[in-house]
Amino acid sequence: MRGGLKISECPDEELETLEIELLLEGIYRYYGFDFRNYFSPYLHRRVKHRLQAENLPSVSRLQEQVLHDPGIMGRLFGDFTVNVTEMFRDPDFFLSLRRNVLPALKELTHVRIWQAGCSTGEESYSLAILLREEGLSSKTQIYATDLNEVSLEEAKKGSFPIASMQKYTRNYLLAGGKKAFSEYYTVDGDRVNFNSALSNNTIFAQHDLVTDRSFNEFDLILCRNVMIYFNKQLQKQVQNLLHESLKTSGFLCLGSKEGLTVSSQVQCYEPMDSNARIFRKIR
Amino acid sequence: MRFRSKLFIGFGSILLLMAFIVSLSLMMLHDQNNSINELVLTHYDKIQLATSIESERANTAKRILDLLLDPSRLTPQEIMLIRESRQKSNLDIEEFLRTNDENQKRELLTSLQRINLAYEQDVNKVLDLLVAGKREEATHLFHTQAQDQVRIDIQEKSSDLQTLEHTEMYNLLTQSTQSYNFTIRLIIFFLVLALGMGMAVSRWAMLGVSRSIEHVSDVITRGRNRTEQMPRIEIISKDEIGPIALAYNQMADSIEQHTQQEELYKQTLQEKTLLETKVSEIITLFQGIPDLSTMANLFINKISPIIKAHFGVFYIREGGSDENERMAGHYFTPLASYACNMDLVKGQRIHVGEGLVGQCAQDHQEILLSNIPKDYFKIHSGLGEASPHSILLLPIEFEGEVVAVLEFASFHNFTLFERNLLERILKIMGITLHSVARQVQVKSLLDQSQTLTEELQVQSEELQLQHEELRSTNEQLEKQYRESEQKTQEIEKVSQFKTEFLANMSHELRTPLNSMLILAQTFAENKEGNLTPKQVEYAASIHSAGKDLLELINDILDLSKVESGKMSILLSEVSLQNLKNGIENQFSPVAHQKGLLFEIEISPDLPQTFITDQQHVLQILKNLLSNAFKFTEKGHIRLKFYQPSAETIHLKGFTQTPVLAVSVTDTGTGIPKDNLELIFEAFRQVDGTMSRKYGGTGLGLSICRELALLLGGTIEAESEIGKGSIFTLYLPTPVSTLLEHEPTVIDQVAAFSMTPIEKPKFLLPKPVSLEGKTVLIVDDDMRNIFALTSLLETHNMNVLFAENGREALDTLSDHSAIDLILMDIMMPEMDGYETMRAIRQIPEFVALPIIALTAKAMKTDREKCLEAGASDYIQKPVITEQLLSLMRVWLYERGTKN
Repeated sequence: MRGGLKISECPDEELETLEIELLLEGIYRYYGFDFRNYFSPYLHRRVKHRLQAENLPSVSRLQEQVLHDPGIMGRLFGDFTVNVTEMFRDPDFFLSLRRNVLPALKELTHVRIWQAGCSTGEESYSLAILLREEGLSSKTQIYATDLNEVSLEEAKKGSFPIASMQKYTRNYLLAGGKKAFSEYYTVDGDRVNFNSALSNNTIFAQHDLVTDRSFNEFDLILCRNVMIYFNKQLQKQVQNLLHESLKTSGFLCLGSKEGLTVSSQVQCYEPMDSNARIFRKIR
Repeated sequence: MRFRSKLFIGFGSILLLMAFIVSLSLMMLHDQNNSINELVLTHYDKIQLATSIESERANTAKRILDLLLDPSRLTPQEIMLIRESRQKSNLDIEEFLRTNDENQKRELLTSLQRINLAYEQDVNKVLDLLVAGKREEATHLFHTQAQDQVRIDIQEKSSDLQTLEHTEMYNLLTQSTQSYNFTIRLIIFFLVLALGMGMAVSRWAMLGVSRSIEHVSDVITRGRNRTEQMPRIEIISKDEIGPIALAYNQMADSIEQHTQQEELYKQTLQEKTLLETKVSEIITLFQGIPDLSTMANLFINKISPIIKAHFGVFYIREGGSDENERMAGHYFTPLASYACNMDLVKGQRIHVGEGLVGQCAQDHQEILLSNIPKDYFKIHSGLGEASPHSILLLPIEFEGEVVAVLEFASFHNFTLFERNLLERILKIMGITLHSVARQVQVKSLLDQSQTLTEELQVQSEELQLQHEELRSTNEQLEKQYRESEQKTQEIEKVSQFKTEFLANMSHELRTPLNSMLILAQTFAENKEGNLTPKQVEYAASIHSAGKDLLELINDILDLSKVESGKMSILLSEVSLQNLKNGIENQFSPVAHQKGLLFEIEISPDLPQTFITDQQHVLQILKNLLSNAFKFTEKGHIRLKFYQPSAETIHLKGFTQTPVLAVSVTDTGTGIPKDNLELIFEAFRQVDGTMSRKYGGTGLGLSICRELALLLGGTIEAESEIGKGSIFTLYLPTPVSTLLEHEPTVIDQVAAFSMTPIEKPKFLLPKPVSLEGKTVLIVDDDMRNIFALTSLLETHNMNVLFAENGREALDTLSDHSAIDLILMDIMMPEMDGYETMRAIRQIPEFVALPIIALTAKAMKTDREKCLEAGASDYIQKPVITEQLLSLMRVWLYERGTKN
């Protein structure tokens, strides 16, 4: 399952590619979820993973199961959409956000933030903490969206496993945390519950970047490590959607390994902090 | 006439006229002056004289009257004054006469003179009289009628004179006014005349000048916008305009010449600019071009109309990227075209030197073809087709190498301009092509690297995800394991209870049962002979049933003992012969009784003795044999001791050799294949009905198997319905030499089991417990230590404390099992920062969680804490809940590690 970039000439693989395309088409036509333009090696790996887990011999068999059993569809959907996240992931980014972007947002009377692909909410809570510490929380509305409703339910709880907390604390400190991180949570068994007041001005809602339209104009959009799962065409589409949803002189934040790939889009932004991948819309 | 003469005449005549008017006015003014002089000097003086005459008379009269009234005042001085007055009036009259020559006045004056003289004489007489003192006479004389008449006459005459003079004066004034008016009129007339003349002359002079200038300016104006052919001025007048016109005409000549030259320059310049414009137009076209094909297309489609080519192909060099085939491997292939179907030429490969395209590439020189044969090549349009007039091939070079070739065809000859343009552009094209190619390469590399980075990110996220999944699977597994363990424990407990219960019960049962058996046997013996045979039979039945019951109880006890691991093993050297004898003794009578053949066979290759627990082996064999006898009605029963084949040993999974096999073969009812395994389970027989037919507890085989397992062996059963069964016991028999020492008692089964099964290790974690964890509190404030200690001890934590950094280091070196440190910052001697730094220096404690307790919420303090090596910080005063949460977080990993 390594070396996803190379598509081997072996007919078996070709067949499998075809099968996966058919599976995705089926899912789109039947369930309405459009994974057709996701990054294909990623899909291959995820599908294979599901095949192993369900003990199925071929993708076509999986397709049959997926179309007749919403349970399996749910699991496959989870494979496609549950992505990795952590609090204050890439602390440098959050530090830059704190130093370069939030001061500019302070000037505004009302701030709208869209966090596209919030997954299980770790980043949303990080953002909420950041805004609170910078005195912005009262006039800010965060829209945290994700395709996966199960993830969203998780996110609403604001409860994370204790196992990652030491890392999160380190991240928080590196991101320029102004308080003791422990002020924000209490431990209950092996879960850490974050202060529910943090999510007061966060709306968790389902939104599909692939099929859904823009739903507001924002001053800040975070879409981190989402587009890496998409192919070039879809990346372009999503970048256009983000551009459409961003106010002029608003900020766009991408993942640490992502960039603006569409040349027409590149001209619309000036880099605020290239390392942190923060861009400001200029036209 | 010249301008100068004209202006002289014009302005001269005006000046003359003005001079005339001025002199006229002067003359008149002079006249006026004269007449006024006369008026004032002559007539005024005369009026004055006339008035004086009258006043002198009045004066004289008054004085005389005064003297008459008061003769005392008569003095010679007074008389003098009167005479002087009289004399003066005479003089005045004479003066008047002298200056006057008019008759009327002369008469008047003469008469006045006369009267005045008479009056003088009278006055003199009066005076004389007065002097003489004859006042009465004088008064009388003075007031005579004649006297009065004289005075009136003088008065009248002088006033007549005055009137006359006034009349004359008035006349003169009237005359003067008239002459003044006339003069004014004259002056006005001349002024008007002068103005009129001046205007006429000026107009004449102006017109003359302006007409000439207008003519010139007209011509110049006409020529203003036409520099190439300017109008000339006809030289008609002989004035100063003549030279101007001449000069202008010369200038026009030179301007025309200049313009022509300029035109020429302009044209060249225009051509140059056009060239530059086109060049820059084409260059700007290439900005932000993503790839060569787009660039070539853009270029060929742009340049062809500019150079009026009707057909164009762009060949690009390809292949031979390898150093070796650099020259040999190159070929040119069409990349873009103008007015040409690309599909027709696509894929064409033209090597260097091949055809004109190849030749052009080889020579690095353009090739121009004219006089193209009619059937050479045709340019099509919807309406028709025709051969081009000329074909042009051009190389595009970069760093001395031809990187592309252009081919154009046109219906006309390529002009110099077009070829210049091409030449200029081609120079740039080489560089541009190269840079675009570079750009494409860089972009593709960039894209590739971006894709790879993203792919890497995806994969790393997936890995993380899989890790996450693994963890959750593990968690589940562990949960299951824990649950199953719990269940096992429960089951164990239950079975323990069962065993204990059974053991106790058996014991409790056996005691009364034994008494019952003994009693029943006593009854059955009927030693006293007082029982009826029926009663004896009953007693025997009770005894036999009791014995069965006892056997059952013993079996149950055995089984439970084995199951609960309470069965002990006593290893000893066992002789096969002894074993055989014992069995033979026990079962031969039974065989005999049932009419069965009973054989015991010992394979000769077996050693005489082996090491095992004789008791248990015997018990197993007895069980098997009694079963065999129970279920066999006829035929034979065979007990066989033998050495199994190596293959069988391997198959049975024995690692220890040698292995002893003991088989019991019968010719009984047999057991269905499905039930072969079942029969080893406790309280089972092939079917429920059997027990009634054959009796027995159904525990025998279970006990056998358990015992066999206990000894490290196993029991196998083979059977066929109606033909009989073979039960084989496999026993590992350690070589006796190894056990030459005293037979050892090994307590538990574990000794024989293969390898101890270890409790699986899990990545994941139970809820974090603070219990049993050791915390070191470093604080110089005993109250804090006390408060924290009592808090932590309620959570069953072990608390150590140190009052300063040095003590903390000592404590750490003494107790390596410290799980977490709570570190106050402000301490004497060695503060928190220093202590933390010192702790982090020790390799053992690099990862030890240290929580800094900061008194201040200062940002710098926090940063200093982290820099010094704190894992986290918390602000004092400490909130209990927060501290406990924090400690759970930081004790988490250590909890799982240990």
